[in-house]
Amino acid sequence: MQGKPNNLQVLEFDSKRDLKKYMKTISKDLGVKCKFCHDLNDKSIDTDHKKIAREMMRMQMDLNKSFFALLGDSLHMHEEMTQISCWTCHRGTKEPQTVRPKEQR
Amino acid sequence: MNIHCFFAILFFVNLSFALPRFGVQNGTSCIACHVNPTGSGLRNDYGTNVVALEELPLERWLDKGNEDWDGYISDHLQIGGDFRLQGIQYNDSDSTRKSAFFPMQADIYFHLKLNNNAGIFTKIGVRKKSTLSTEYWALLSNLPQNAWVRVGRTLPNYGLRVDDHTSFIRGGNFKRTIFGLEKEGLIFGPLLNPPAILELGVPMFGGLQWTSSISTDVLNNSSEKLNNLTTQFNYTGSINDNITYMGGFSYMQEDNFSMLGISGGISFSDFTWTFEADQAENWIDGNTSLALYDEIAWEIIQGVQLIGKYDFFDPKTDWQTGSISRYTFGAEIYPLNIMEIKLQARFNQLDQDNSTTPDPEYLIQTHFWF
Repeated sequence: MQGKPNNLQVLEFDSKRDLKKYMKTISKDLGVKCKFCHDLNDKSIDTDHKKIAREMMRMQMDLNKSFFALLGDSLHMHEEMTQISCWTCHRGTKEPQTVRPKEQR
Repeated sequence: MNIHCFFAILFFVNLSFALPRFGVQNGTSCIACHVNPTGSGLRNDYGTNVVALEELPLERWLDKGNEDWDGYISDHLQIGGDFRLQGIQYNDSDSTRKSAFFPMQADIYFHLKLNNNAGIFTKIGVRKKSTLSTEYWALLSNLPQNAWVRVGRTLPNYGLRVDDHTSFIRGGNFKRTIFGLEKEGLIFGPLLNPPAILELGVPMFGGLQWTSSISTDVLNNSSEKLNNLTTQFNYTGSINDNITYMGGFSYMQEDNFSMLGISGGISFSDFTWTFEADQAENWIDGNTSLALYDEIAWEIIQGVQLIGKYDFFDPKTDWQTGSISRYTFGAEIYPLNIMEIKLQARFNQLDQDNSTTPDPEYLIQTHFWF
Protein backbone atom coordinates (compact mmCIF):
# COMPACT_ATOMS: atom_id res chain seq x y z
CA MET A 1 0.00 0.00 0.00
CA GLN A 2 1.62 3.19 -1.16
CA GLY A 3 -0.68 5.35 0.93
CA LYS A 4 -0.92 9.11 1.04
CA PRO A 5 2.18 11.29 1.25
CA ASN A 6 3.07 12.87 4.58
CA ASN A 7 3.90 16.50 5.35
CA LEU A 8 2.95 17.92 1.96
CA GLN A 9 2.58 21.69 2.32
CA VAL A 10 2.83 22.96 -1.23
CA LEU A 11 2.30 20.09 -3.62
CA GLU A 12 -1.07 18.46 -4.04
CA PHE A 13 -0.72 14.76 -4.74
CA ASP A 14 -3.02 12.05 -3.50
CA SER A 15 -0.68 9.14 -4.13
CA LYS A 16 2.97 8.55 -3.26
CA ARG A 17 3.50 7.08 -6.71
CA ASP A 18 2.53 10.33 -8.45
CA LEU A 19 4.54 12.36 -5.98
CA LYS A 20 7.61 10.22 -6.58
CA LYS A 21 7.36 10.75 -10.33
CA TYR A 22 7.26 14.50 -9.79
CA MET A 23 10.19 14.33 -7.36
CA LYS A 24 12.23 12.48 -9.98
CA THR A 25 11.75 15.33 -12.45
CA ILE A 26 13.00 17.77 -9.82
CA SER A 27 16.09 15.69 -9.07
CA LYS A 28 16.91 15.55 -12.77
CA ASP A 29 16.27 19.27 -13.26
CA LEU A 30 18.71 20.04 -10.43
CA GLY A 31 21.15 17.18 -11.08
CA VAL A 32 20.90 15.96 -7.49
CA LYS A 33 19.93 12.77 -5.70
CA CYS A 34 17.11 12.49 -3.19
CA LYS A 35 19.46 12.88 -0.21
CA PHE A 36 20.18 16.46 -1.30
CA CYS A 37 16.83 17.52 0.14
CA HIS A 38 15.59 14.50 2.10
CA ASP A 39 16.56 12.70 5.26
CA LEU A 40 16.38 9.21 3.76
CA ASN A 41 15.55 7.62 7.11
CA ASP A 42 12.30 9.58 7.05
CA LYS A 43 11.72 11.47 3.84
CA SER A 44 8.86 13.50 5.31
CA ILE A 45 11.15 15.31 7.77
CA ASP A 46 11.89 18.94 6.94
CA THR A 47 15.51 19.78 6.10
CA ASP A 48 17.11 23.11 5.17
CA HIS A 49 17.22 22.25 1.47
CA LYS A 50 13.65 20.98 1.58
CA LYS A 51 12.47 24.28 3.00
CA ILE A 52 14.24 26.15 0.21
CA ALA A 53 12.74 23.73 -2.34
CA ARG A 54 9.26 24.53 -1.02
CA GLU A 55 9.80 28.25 -1.52
CA MET A 56 11.09 27.61 -5.04
CA MET A 57 8.00 25.53 -5.82
CA ARG A 58 5.74 28.30 -4.49
CA MET A 59 7.56 30.83 -6.69
CA GLN A 60 7.23 28.59 -9.75
CA MET A 61 3.52 27.97 -9.11
CA ASP A 62 2.84 31.64 -8.52
CA LEU A 63 4.58 32.62 -11.73
CA ASN A 64 2.74 29.99 -13.74
CA LYS A 65 -0.63 30.81 -12.24
CA SER A 66 -0.47 34.55 -11.86
CA PHE A 67 1.86 35.75 -14.58
CA PHE A 68 2.03 33.22 -17.40
CA ALA A 69 -1.64 32.26 -17.14
CA LEU A 70 -2.70 35.92 -17.29
CA LEU A 71 -0.30 36.55 -20.12
CA GLY A 72 -1.80 33.58 -21.93
CA ASP A 73 -5.28 35.02 -21.41
CA SER A 74 -4.32 38.42 -22.75
CA LEU A 75 -2.61 36.91 -25.79
CA HIS A 76 -5.40 34.36 -26.31
CA MET A 77 -2.81 31.57 -26.06
CA HIS A 78 -4.34 29.67 -23.17
CA GLU A 79 -3.03 26.20 -23.95
CA GLU A 80 0.18 27.10 -25.74
CA MET A 81 1.44 29.59 -23.18
CA THR A 82 4.85 28.96 -21.65
CA GLN A 83 5.01 27.31 -18.24
CA ILE A 84 8.20 27.37 -16.26
CA SER A 85 9.74 24.47 -14.37
CA CYS A 86 12.83 23.94 -12.24
CA TRP A 87 14.76 23.26 -15.44
CA THR A 88 13.99 26.74 -16.75
CA CYS A 89 16.62 28.19 -14.43
CA HIS A 90 18.58 25.28 -12.98
CA ARG A 91 19.47 23.45 -16.20
CA GLY A 92 20.63 20.36 -14.35
CA THR A 93 22.67 22.15 -11.68
CA LYS A 94 22.09 22.90 -8.00
CA GLU A 95 22.65 26.61 -8.41
CA PRO A 96 20.72 28.40 -11.19
CA GLN A 97 22.86 30.41 -13.55
CA THR A 98 21.89 34.03 -12.94
CA VAL A 99 24.56 35.59 -15.16
CA ARG A 100 25.28 34.74 -18.77
CA PRO A 101 28.41 32.56 -19.10
CA LYS A 102 31.53 34.44 -20.18
CA GLU A 103 32.00 32.45 -23.39
CA GLN A 104 28.56 33.59 -24.61
CA ARG A 105 29.03 37.30 -23.99
CA MET B 1 35.77 -33.15 0.04
CA ASN B 2 34.60 -34.07 -3.41
CA ILE B 3 32.89 -31.81 -5.85
CA HIS B 4 29.44 -33.26 -5.11
CA CYS B 5 29.79 -32.48 -1.45
CA PHE B 6 30.83 -28.95 -2.32
CA PHE B 7 27.69 -28.58 -4.42
CA ALA B 8 25.52 -29.91 -1.64
CA ILE B 9 26.89 -27.32 0.75
CA LEU B 10 26.96 -24.30 -1.49
CA PHE B 11 24.09 -25.02 -3.82
CA PHE B 12 21.77 -22.52 -2.22
CA VAL B 13 22.27 -20.15 0.66
CA ASN B 14 19.69 -19.41 3.29
CA LEU B 15 20.56 -15.80 3.98
CA SER B 16 19.41 -12.53 2.56
CA PHE B 17 22.06 -10.05 1.53
CA ALA B 18 22.40 -6.31 1.49
CA LEU B 19 24.95 -3.71 0.50
CA PRO B 20 25.81 -1.65 3.61
CA ARG B 21 28.11 0.38 1.39
CA PHE B 22 25.03 2.01 -0.14
CA GLY B 23 23.86 2.98 3.33
CA VAL B 24 27.24 4.58 4.00
CA GLN B 25 27.18 6.40 0.64
CA ASN B 26 23.80 7.90 1.43
CA GLY B 27 24.38 8.41 5.15
CA THR B 28 21.27 6.43 5.94
CA SER B 29 20.20 3.16 7.53
CA CYS B 30 19.03 0.07 5.66
CA ILE B 31 15.34 0.87 6.06
CA ALA B 32 15.67 3.60 3.44
CA CYS B 33 15.87 0.96 0.69
CA HIS B 34 14.65 -2.30 2.24
CA VAL B 35 11.33 -3.49 3.62
CA ASN B 36 13.25 -5.24 6.39
CA PRO B 37 14.05 -2.46 8.90
CA THR B 38 17.47 -4.03 9.55
CA GLY B 39 18.25 -4.50 5.87
CA SER B 40 18.61 -7.21 3.22
CA GLY B 41 16.21 -8.87 0.83
CA LEU B 42 13.12 -7.20 -0.56
CA ARG B 43 13.60 -3.58 -1.54
CA ASN B 44 10.91 -1.04 -0.78
CA ASP B 45 9.41 1.24 -3.42
CA TYR B 46 12.25 3.74 -2.95
CA GLY B 47 14.91 1.03 -3.26
CA THR B 48 13.27 -0.42 -6.36
CA ASN B 49 11.90 2.63 -8.08
CA VAL B 50 14.53 5.24 -7.29
CA VAL B 51 17.89 3.74 -6.26
CA ALA B 52 17.85 0.59 -8.41
CA LEU B 53 16.13 2.33 -11.30
CA GLU B 54 18.07 5.59 -11.48
CA GLU B 55 21.14 5.67 -9.23
CA LEU B 56 22.58 2.21 -9.77
CA PRO B 57 22.62 1.21 -13.45
CA LEU B 58 24.90 2.34 -16.24
CA GLU B 59 23.63 5.67 -17.51
CA ARG B 60 23.52 4.50 -21.10
CA TRP B 61 20.84 1.91 -20.21
CA LEU B 62 18.92 3.95 -17.66
CA ASP B 63 15.92 4.17 -19.97
CA LYS B 64 15.62 0.36 -20.10
CA GLY B 65 13.99 0.33 -16.68
CA ASN B 66 10.27 0.43 -16.11
CA GLU B 67 9.38 3.54 -14.18
CA ASP B 68 5.98 2.15 -13.22
CA TRP B 69 7.35 -0.95 -11.48
CA ASP B 70 7.79 -0.61 -7.72
CA GLY B 71 6.90 -4.14 -6.70
CA TYR B 72 3.26 -3.46 -5.82
CA ILE B 73 0.89 -5.79 -7.65
CA SER B 74 -2.10 -4.47 -5.72
CA ASP B 75 -2.71 -1.65 -3.28
CA HIS B 76 -1.51 -3.82 -0.42
CA LEU B 77 0.71 -6.56 -1.80
CA GLN B 78 4.32 -6.06 -2.84
CA ILE B 79 6.43 -8.83 -4.34
CA GLY B 80 10.10 -9.19 -5.16
CA GLY B 81 12.87 -11.69 -5.64
CA ASP B 82 16.61 -12.31 -5.69
CA PHE B 83 18.36 -14.84 -7.91
CA ARG B 84 22.10 -15.47 -8.00
CA LEU B 85 24.20 -17.72 -10.18
CA GLN B 86 27.83 -18.20 -9.34
CA GLY B 87 30.85 -19.66 -11.04
CA ILE B 88 34.04 -20.20 -9.06
CA GLN B 89 37.45 -21.69 -9.66
CA TYR B 90 39.21 -22.70 -6.48
CA ASN B 91 41.65 -25.05 -4.81
CA ASP B 92 39.95 -27.94 -3.03
CA SER B 93 41.20 -29.16 0.35
CA ASP B 94 43.37 -31.73 -1.44
CA SER B 95 44.94 -28.86 -3.44
CA THR B 96 43.41 -29.96 -6.71
CA ARG B 97 41.99 -27.23 -8.91
CA LYS B 98 38.21 -27.31 -9.17
CA SER B 99 35.57 -25.29 -11.00
CA ALA B 100 31.92 -25.07 -10.18
CA PHE B 101 28.93 -23.22 -11.53
CA PHE B 102 25.78 -23.32 -9.48
CA PRO B 103 22.59 -21.46 -8.60
CA MET B 104 23.22 -19.81 -5.27
CA GLN B 105 20.05 -17.99 -4.35
CA ALA B 106 16.43 -18.18 -5.48
CA ASP B 107 14.23 -16.22 -3.12
CA ILE B 108 10.72 -14.86 -3.63
CA TYR B 109 9.33 -12.24 -1.25
CA PHE B 110 5.80 -11.26 -0.36
CA HIS B 111 5.05 -8.17 1.69
CA LEU B 112 1.47 -7.58 2.69
CA LYS B 113 1.09 -4.03 3.89
CA LEU B 114 -2.01 -4.00 6.04
CA ASN B 115 -1.92 -0.26 6.68
CA ASN B 116 0.71 2.43 7.23
CA ASN B 117 1.62 0.92 10.59
CA ALA B 118 1.57 -2.84 10.03
CA GLY B 119 2.89 -5.34 7.53
CA ILE B 120 3.54 -9.05 7.15
CA PHE B 121 6.58 -10.32 5.28
CA THR B 122 7.38 -13.79 3.97
CA LYS B 123 10.44 -15.06 2.15
CA ILE B 124 10.38 -18.40 0.41
CA GLY B 125 13.68 -19.63 -0.94
CA VAL B 126 15.13 -22.79 -2.36
CA ARG B 127 17.52 -24.47 0.02
CA LYS B 128 19.67 -27.26 -1.32
CA LYS B 129 17.95 -29.16 -4.12
CA SER B 130 14.52 -30.02 -2.84
CA THR B 131 13.82 -28.18 0.39
CA LEU B 132 12.61 -24.67 1.02
CA SER B 133 13.90 -22.04 3.40
CA THR B 134 11.55 -19.52 4.89
CA GLU B 135 11.68 -16.31 6.80
CA TYR B 136 8.59 -14.52 8.01
CA TRP B 137 7.70 -11.71 10.36
CA ALA B 138 5.08 -9.17 11.24
CA LEU B 139 6.13 -5.56 11.73
CA LEU B 140 4.35 -2.89 13.72
CA SER B 141 5.79 0.54 12.99
CA ASN B 142 5.12 4.19 13.81
CA LEU B 143 4.81 3.37 17.50
CA PRO B 144 5.63 6.07 20.09
CA GLN B 145 9.11 7.54 19.48
CA ASN B 146 8.70 6.24 15.89
CA ALA B 147 9.71 2.83 17.22
CA TRP B 148 8.90 -0.51 15.60
CA VAL B 149 8.38 -4.04 16.89
CA ARG B 150 8.84 -7.22 14.93
CA VAL B 151 7.93 -10.82 15.69
CA GLY B 152 8.59 -13.86 13.54
CA ARG B 153 11.59 -15.75 12.22
CA THR B 154 14.54 -13.70 11.03
CA LEU B 155 18.18 -13.16 11.90
CA PRO B 156 19.06 -10.82 14.78
CA ASN B 157 20.53 -7.49 13.74
CA TYR B 158 24.28 -7.81 14.21
CA GLY B 159 27.01 -5.95 12.32
CA LEU B 160 26.99 -5.43 8.57
CA ARG B 161 24.88 -7.81 6.52
CA VAL B 162 27.31 -7.82 3.58
CA ASP B 163 26.48 -9.58 0.32
CA ASP B 164 29.27 -12.14 0.72
CA HIS B 165 28.63 -14.99 3.15
CA THR B 166 32.26 -16.08 2.86
CA SER B 167 33.44 -12.90 4.60
CA PHE B 168 34.93 -13.95 7.90
CA ILE B 169 32.64 -11.56 9.79
CA ARG B 170 29.72 -13.65 8.46
CA GLY B 171 30.13 -17.38 7.78
CA GLY B 172 33.62 -17.41 6.31
CA ASN B 173 34.82 -20.52 4.55
CA PHE B 174 31.99 -22.45 6.13
CA LYS B 175 32.57 -26.22 6.40
CA ARG B 176 34.87 -26.19 3.43
CA THR B 177 37.70 -25.14 5.78
CA ILE B 178 40.19 -24.51 3.03
CA PHE B 179 43.03 -24.51 5.48
CA GLY B 180 41.78 -27.27 7.72
CA LEU B 181 41.22 -24.99 10.69
CA GLU B 182 38.45 -25.83 13.10
CA LYS B 183 36.40 -22.85 11.92
CA GLU B 184 37.14 -20.22 9.32
CA GLY B 185 34.64 -17.46 10.00
CA LEU B 186 31.94 -16.41 12.44
CA ILE B 187 28.42 -17.67 13.01
CA PHE B 188 26.42 -16.29 10.08
CA GLY B 189 26.92 -19.25 7.75
CA PRO B 190 24.89 -19.63 4.57
CA LEU B 191 22.61 -22.37 5.93
CA LEU B 192 21.78 -20.72 9.23
CA ASN B 193 18.11 -21.03 10.10
CA PRO B 194 16.45 -17.81 11.24
CA PRO B 195 15.45 -18.10 14.91
CA ALA B 196 12.08 -17.13 16.37
CA ILE B 197 12.55 -13.52 17.40
CA LEU B 198 11.02 -10.55 19.14
CA GLU B 199 12.82 -7.38 18.07
CA LEU B 200 12.48 -3.73 18.94
CA GLY B 201 13.87 -0.80 16.97
CA VAL B 202 13.96 2.77 18.25
CA PRO B 203 15.22 5.82 16.34
CA MET B 204 16.74 7.76 19.23
CA PHE B 205 17.97 11.17 18.13
CA GLY B 206 19.68 12.52 15.05
CA GLY B 207 20.71 9.50 13.01
CA LEU B 208 21.08 7.14 15.98
CA GLN B 209 19.06 3.94 15.88
CA TRP B 210 18.93 1.24 18.55
CA THR B 211 17.73 -2.29 17.88
CA SER B 212 17.50 -5.06 20.43
CA SER B 213 16.13 -8.58 20.16
CA ILE B 214 15.53 -11.72 22.12
CA SER B 215 15.32 -14.93 20.14
CA THR B 216 15.64 -18.68 20.25
CA ASP B 217 19.11 -20.17 19.80
CA VAL B 218 20.97 -19.02 16.73
CA LEU B 219 23.99 -21.28 17.24
CA ASN B 220 22.08 -24.39 18.18
CA ASN B 221 19.11 -24.39 15.82
CA SER B 222 17.52 -27.49 17.32
CA SER B 223 16.86 -25.67 20.57
CA GLU B 224 13.75 -23.54 21.01
CA LYS B 225 14.98 -21.90 24.19
CA LEU B 226 14.65 -18.12 24.25
CA ASN B 227 18.35 -17.76 24.67
CA ASN B 228 19.86 -15.21 22.34
CA LEU B 229 20.15 -11.52 23.17
CA THR B 230 21.40 -9.18 20.46
CA THR B 231 21.64 -5.43 20.46
CA GLN B 232 22.99 -2.83 18.09
CA PHE B 233 23.49 0.92 18.09
CA ASN B 234 23.95 2.45 14.67
CA TYR B 235 24.57 6.07 13.78
CA THR B 236 24.34 7.55 10.29
CA GLY B 237 24.93 11.10 9.18
CA SER B 238 26.67 13.55 6.88
CA ILE B 239 29.04 16.49 7.02
CA ASN B 240 28.53 19.45 4.67
CA ASP B 241 26.65 17.33 2.12
CA ASN B 242 30.01 15.95 0.95
CA ILE B 243 30.93 13.32 3.51
CA THR B 244 28.54 10.65 4.70
CA TYR B 245 29.23 8.10 7.38
CA MET B 246 27.91 5.23 9.45
CA GLY B 247 29.16 3.89 12.78
CA GLY B 248 27.80 1.09 14.90
CA PHE B 249 28.30 -1.16 17.88
CA SER B 250 26.85 -4.68 18.11
CA TYR B 251 26.66 -7.25 20.87
CA MET B 252 25.33 -10.81 20.96
CA GLN B 253 25.07 -13.21 23.93
CA GLU B 254 23.95 -16.84 23.85
CA ASP B 255 24.81 -19.18 26.74
CA ASN B 256 28.56 -18.86 27.21
CA PHE B 257 29.06 -17.55 23.67
CA SER B 258 29.35 -13.80 23.23
CA MET B 259 30.38 -11.55 20.41
CA LEU B 260 30.90 -7.83 20.17
CA GLY B 261 31.91 -5.68 17.29
CA ILE B 262 32.18 -2.26 15.74
CA SER B 263 31.20 -1.50 12.17
CA GLY B 264 30.62 1.41 9.86
CA GLY B 265 32.18 3.39 7.07
CA ILE B 266 32.74 6.74 5.49
CA SER B 267 32.08 7.99 1.98
CA PHE B 268 33.61 10.94 0.18
CA SER B 269 33.20 11.77 -3.49
CA ASP B 270 33.31 8.45 -5.38
CA PHE B 271 35.10 6.51 -2.64
CA THR B 272 33.52 4.51 0.18
CA TRP B 273 35.29 2.67 2.98
CA THR B 274 33.31 0.08 4.94
CA PHE B 275 34.63 -1.91 7.90
CA GLU B 276 33.74 -4.28 10.71
CA ALA B 277 35.76 -5.79 13.54
CA ASP B 278 34.36 -8.54 15.77
CA GLN B 279 35.64 -10.39 18.79
CA ALA B 280 33.90 -13.65 19.72
CA GLU B 281 34.27 -15.56 22.99
CA ASN B 282 33.75 -19.33 23.00
CA TRP B 283 32.90 -19.56 19.33
CA ILE B 284 35.74 -22.04 19.42
CA ASP B 285 35.74 -23.65 22.88
CA GLY B 286 37.39 -21.46 25.47
CA ASN B 287 39.03 -19.22 22.90
CA THR B 288 38.76 -15.66 21.73
CA SER B 289 38.32 -15.31 17.95
CA LEU B 290 38.83 -12.17 15.90
CA ALA B 291 37.35 -11.27 12.52
CA LEU B 292 37.99 -8.15 10.45
CA TYR B 293 36.45 -6.79 7.28
CA ASP B 294 37.69 -3.83 5.25
CA GLU B 295 36.34 -2.73 1.91
CA ILE B 296 37.22 0.17 -0.34
CA ALA B 297 34.89 0.88 -3.24
CA TRP B 298 35.53 3.34 -6.05
CA GLU B 299 32.60 4.22 -8.28
CA ILE B 300 34.49 5.06 -11.47
CA ILE B 301 31.25 5.78 -13.35
CA GLN B 302 27.64 5.21 -12.41
CA GLY B 303 27.08 1.46 -12.65
CA VAL B 304 30.70 0.37 -12.23
CA GLN B 305 32.40 0.04 -8.87
CA LEU B 306 35.93 -1.22 -8.34
CA ILE B 307 36.28 -3.12 -5.08
CA GLY B 308 39.25 -3.97 -2.88
CA LYS B 309 38.65 -6.03 0.27
CA TYR B 310 40.69 -7.35 3.15
CA ASP B 311 39.30 -10.15 5.34
CA PHE B 312 41.07 -11.47 8.41
CA PHE B 313 40.19 -14.26 10.81
CA ASP B 314 42.10 -15.53 13.80
CA PRO B 315 40.24 -18.45 15.40
CA LYS B 316 42.41 -18.39 18.53
CA THR B 317 43.72 -14.94 19.26
CA ASP B 318 47.12 -15.61 20.68
CA TRP B 319 48.72 -12.95 18.48
CA GLN B 320 51.07 -15.59 17.17
CA THR B 321 50.11 -17.86 14.28
CA GLY B 322 47.06 -19.55 12.83
CA SER B 323 45.24 -16.65 11.21
CA ILE B 324 43.84 -16.37 7.70
CA SER B 325 44.03 -13.28 5.53
CA ARG B 326 42.20 -12.85 2.27
CA TYR B 327 42.71 -10.07 -0.25
CA THR B 328 39.95 -9.58 -2.79
CA PHE B 329 40.05 -7.43 -5.90
CA GLY B 330 37.20 -7.07 -8.31
CA ALA B 331 34.41 -5.08 -9.85
CA GLU B 332 30.69 -4.83 -9.47
CA ILE B 333 28.84 -3.84 -12.62
CA TYR B 334 25.18 -2.86 -12.74
CA PRO B 335 24.24 -2.86 -16.42
CA LEU B 336 20.49 -2.73 -15.75
CA ASN B 337 18.20 -1.84 -12.88
CA ILE B 338 17.59 -5.56 -12.27
CA MET B 339 21.07 -6.98 -12.75
CA GLU B 340 24.49 -7.07 -11.12
CA ILE B 341 27.63 -8.78 -12.38
CA LYS B 342 30.32 -9.39 -9.80
CA LEU B 343 33.88 -10.32 -10.76
CA GLN B 344 36.45 -11.18 -8.10
CA ALA B 345 39.93 -12.57 -7.63
CA ARG B 346 40.66 -13.74 -4.07
CA PHE B 347 44.09 -14.35 -2.64
CA ASN B 348 44.22 -16.37 0.57
CA GLN B 349 47.10 -16.49 2.98
CA LEU B 350 47.52 -18.65 6.08
CA ASP B 351 49.85 -17.53 8.83
CA GLN B 352 50.96 -20.97 9.96
CA ASP B 353 54.18 -22.95 9.93
CA ASN B 354 54.72 -25.15 6.88
CA SER B 355 51.65 -23.78 5.14
CA THR B 356 51.60 -23.11 1.43
CA THR B 357 49.81 -20.22 -0.20
CA PRO B 358 46.97 -21.60 -2.32
CA ASP B 359 46.33 -20.44 -5.86
CA PRO B 360 43.89 -17.55 -6.16
CA GLU B 361 40.16 -18.13 -6.39
CA TYR B 362 38.29 -16.58 -9.29
CA LEU B 363 34.61 -15.82 -9.03
CA ILE B 364 31.88 -14.56 -11.31
CA GLN B 365 28.41 -13.99 -9.96
CA THR B 366 25.30 -12.71 -11.67
CA HIS B 367 22.52 -11.36 -9.55
CA PHE B 368 19.01 -10.60 -10.78
CA TRP B 369 16.32 -8.99 -8.68
CA PHE B 370 12.98 -7.42 -9.05
